[in-house]
Amino acid sequence: MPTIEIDGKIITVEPGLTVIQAADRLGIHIPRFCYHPGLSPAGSCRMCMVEIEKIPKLQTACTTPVVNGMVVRTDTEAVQDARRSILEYLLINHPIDCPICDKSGECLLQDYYTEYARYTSRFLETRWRKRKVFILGPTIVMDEERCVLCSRCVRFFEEVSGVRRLGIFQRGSEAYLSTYPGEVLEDLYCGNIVDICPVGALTDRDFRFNQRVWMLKRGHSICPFCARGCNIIVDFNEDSDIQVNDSRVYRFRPRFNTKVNDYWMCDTGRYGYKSLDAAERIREPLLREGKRLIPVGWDRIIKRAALRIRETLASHGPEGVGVLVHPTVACETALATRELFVEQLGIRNMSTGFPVDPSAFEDAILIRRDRAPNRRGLEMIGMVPKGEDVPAGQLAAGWATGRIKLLYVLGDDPARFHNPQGPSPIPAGEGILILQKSTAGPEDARARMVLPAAMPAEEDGTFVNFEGRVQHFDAALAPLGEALPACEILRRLGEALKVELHPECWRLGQETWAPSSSS
Amino acid sequence: MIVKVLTRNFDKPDSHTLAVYEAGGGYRTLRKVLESWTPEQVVEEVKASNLRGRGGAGFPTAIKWGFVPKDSPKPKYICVNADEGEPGTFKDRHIMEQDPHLMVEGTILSAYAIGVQTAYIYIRGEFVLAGERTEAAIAEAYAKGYLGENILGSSYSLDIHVHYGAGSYICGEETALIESIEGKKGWPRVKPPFPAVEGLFGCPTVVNNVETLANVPLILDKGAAWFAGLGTEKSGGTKLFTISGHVNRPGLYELPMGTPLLEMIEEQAGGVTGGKKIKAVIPGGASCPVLAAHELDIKMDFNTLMAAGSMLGSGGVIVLAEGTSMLAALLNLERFFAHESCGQCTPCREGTRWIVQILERIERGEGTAGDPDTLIDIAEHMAGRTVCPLGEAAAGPVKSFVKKFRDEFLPGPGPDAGPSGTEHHPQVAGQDG
Repeated sequence: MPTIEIDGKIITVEPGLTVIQAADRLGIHIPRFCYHPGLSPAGSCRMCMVEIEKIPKLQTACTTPVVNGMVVRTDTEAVQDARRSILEYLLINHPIDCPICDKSGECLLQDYYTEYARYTSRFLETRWRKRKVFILGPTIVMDEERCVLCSRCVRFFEEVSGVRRLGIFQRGSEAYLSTYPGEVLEDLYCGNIVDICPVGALTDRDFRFNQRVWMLKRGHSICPFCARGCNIIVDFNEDSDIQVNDSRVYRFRPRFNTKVNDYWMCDTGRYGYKSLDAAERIREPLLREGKRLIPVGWDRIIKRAALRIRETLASHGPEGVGVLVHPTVACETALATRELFVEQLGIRNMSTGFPVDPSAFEDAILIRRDRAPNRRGLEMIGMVPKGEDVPAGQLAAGWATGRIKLLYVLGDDPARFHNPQGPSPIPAGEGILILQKSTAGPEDARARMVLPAAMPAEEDGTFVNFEGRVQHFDAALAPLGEALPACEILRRLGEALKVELHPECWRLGQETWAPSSSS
Repeated sequence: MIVKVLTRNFDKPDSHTLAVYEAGGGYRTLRKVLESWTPEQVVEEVKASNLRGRGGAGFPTAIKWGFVPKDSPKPKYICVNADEGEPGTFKDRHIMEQDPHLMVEGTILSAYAIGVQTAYIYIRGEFVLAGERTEAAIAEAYAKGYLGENILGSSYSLDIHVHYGAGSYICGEETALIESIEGKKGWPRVKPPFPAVEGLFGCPTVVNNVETLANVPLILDKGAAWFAGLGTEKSGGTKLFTISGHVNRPGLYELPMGTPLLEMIEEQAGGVTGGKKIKAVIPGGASCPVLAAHELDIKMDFNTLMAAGSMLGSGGVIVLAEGTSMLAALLNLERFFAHESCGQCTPCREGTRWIVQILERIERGEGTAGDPDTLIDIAEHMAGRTVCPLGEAAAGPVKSFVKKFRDEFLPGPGPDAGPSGTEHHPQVAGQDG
């Protein structure tokens, strides 16, 4: 294992690593444009040049493999001078339109100029004019004048999404980035090229001009739109004075996790941020009065729900109540549900429902056929009453035939986010339907009550992805409107039913996972 | 002193044909080597000859061959660099047009030495006649059993494919050439890995210049000692010089390594046009730093020119007579480099264009006192900081022209500039890329 020294710090790394990777591990930032840790090195921007003992010329840190005994300096005058010159070369033809550039605030060119250059321009010539506001595809717009030709986006499509969609055409200073002639840029992973574009050349038509990035707050969460469970950053703004379209959330971005999603996420998940502020979000508790669901306060809806559950248990016993838990709820919600309905109220008609749609799209990159984020979690917890297995079909049949008089449904239909107009998975029934979820759906027309629940980015919780990886997340922002975290709704419901649900009951511990599926 | 070694067939009628080549002893060496020499013996002989690469860098040829791993399970390739695009240089074109079999035989012998079964000749797209004659020579060689399966009854087999460039100077850079043969855009690769380890199609590859390979049959025929004796201590053989610019007899001259530059210009090229004095000479093709009048008493070989801060390069000697505008001459060169920059890496892509813009502004009479320093600074930050040597190639002329003829890059008419600044432009042969 080679041991090298960078700026006086010693590190031992595995062979084959490059100097920039070793420096990253030491927390020494070597500026870069073309290098991205998720892509092959290009060595073309020349920003990462460093001094290496016994080598007369400066070397690019992104392409130089570590060699035992190597001594690297990233802070010498020659290195500073090289960085300044590269920035000057990149900036002579740059429009320097930061005030109207969407990348401003998270732009490497801007950051590096401030940190390493700060010279007075000596460029007296006419700046190169290239294409502006060039629509590459439905989601991406390009500003050729801002492009530094780092080729990150080109390599992303070649190496990650797997189809060459962009290229650099012409040569010399006339070189430009483009799709192949006549092609529109469409790809399930397009949004990633905006994240990795080090400058404002590629911007997202959805995000563009909605917010200045420094006004946004950042939270961490897990993408809830398929069983992969990509780690994400939630960018939001709670200040209603500077919100656009009364929206709090402006984008999801991938958060690096080498075990799950690397640096990437799919566009379905990315633009899924819209579901958080969607018009279909249920903002208040809703109670049926005749043909309409009318907003009521939490006290009233909880009392009413508890009353109906008590009445049904009294008249038909535990067999008259059914509980359906969608695999979109967190493990904690599932545990609280089991504690309340199974352990305390003795209800046995409980199912996790909804099989995976075998016709759904899946790829070898990130997207999973199973659109639910926590099916594996519910399986591992063992979300069925002890000793008995109640298949979803049996539960639905009991409901449809009227044997089950009250059905309590938790969570959103996983198919709903992908196909809002799709059919409801809950069959028609004569009994009392109580829904606890975040987003409106066709089954609401038959519901007696709708209890608004937080979405994953708005509550703490745990998902287990398709590989069995347990991923905890904290609330990034507060729930929308009157919505509450699912466990809090259940706690209040328990209180009204004279059952004390202590938060300890939904805490995940070693004993949580059912032995049969603890692989 | 003209020596006819590489060019010995050039003056014969139909010199490009197999019949003429064989009549002059052609392919005799190939037969001898395949019958009685091991590949190692070939490498040793070439090493002893002090043959250095004729493409510009002057790297010892046998050492380059030695970088190819002996134990690689992959096939090995040899690429003949016939993408001669350096302004002022036209030696390889003459070899292909007038004696293509010399290159073909050299390629076969070198391929045998390295253990190559497939060779590619990458010919500059504009070289129509050179391409035709090369292809014809290869066809003749196949027909005579000099190429193909079991050459001359030996166990050695070799195929040669011809591949044409599409007019890009950068494809003469060995890794851009490899990319181009692979059907990709001619962008130089980042090194390491070097082609000897990972070149064409990811396999060990040697890229050699046409003139370099053309020397190999002569070395193996007449011996390393004879070849080394033609040159200097560290650089064997003769050199093809192409002399252009303000001389009375521009053209190709074969001269021993180390021939004095002034002798070359006065005796071979017939002196400067109009009996003028020499103002400056670019000694080795457009990318080599210019020599001013007081630096011309110099021997033309790799080491001497390097010591003088320039390069022998590809041997393209461009003579600039007094009265030449150095501003116009440099602008001419830098327009070429800006046009030919591949655009991959920042310093070359941005720097070459910026240099042209500044020179054009000076030419318009809008120069500033700071321009010479800015030009030198831009060039110094390009040199040695690019993916391939083009950045260095573009920077060398800027630094040398501006440092040595600084007055001509300052505001106001330079001392030598003509009234319009256009009538004394040197015509640089071979520059149409």
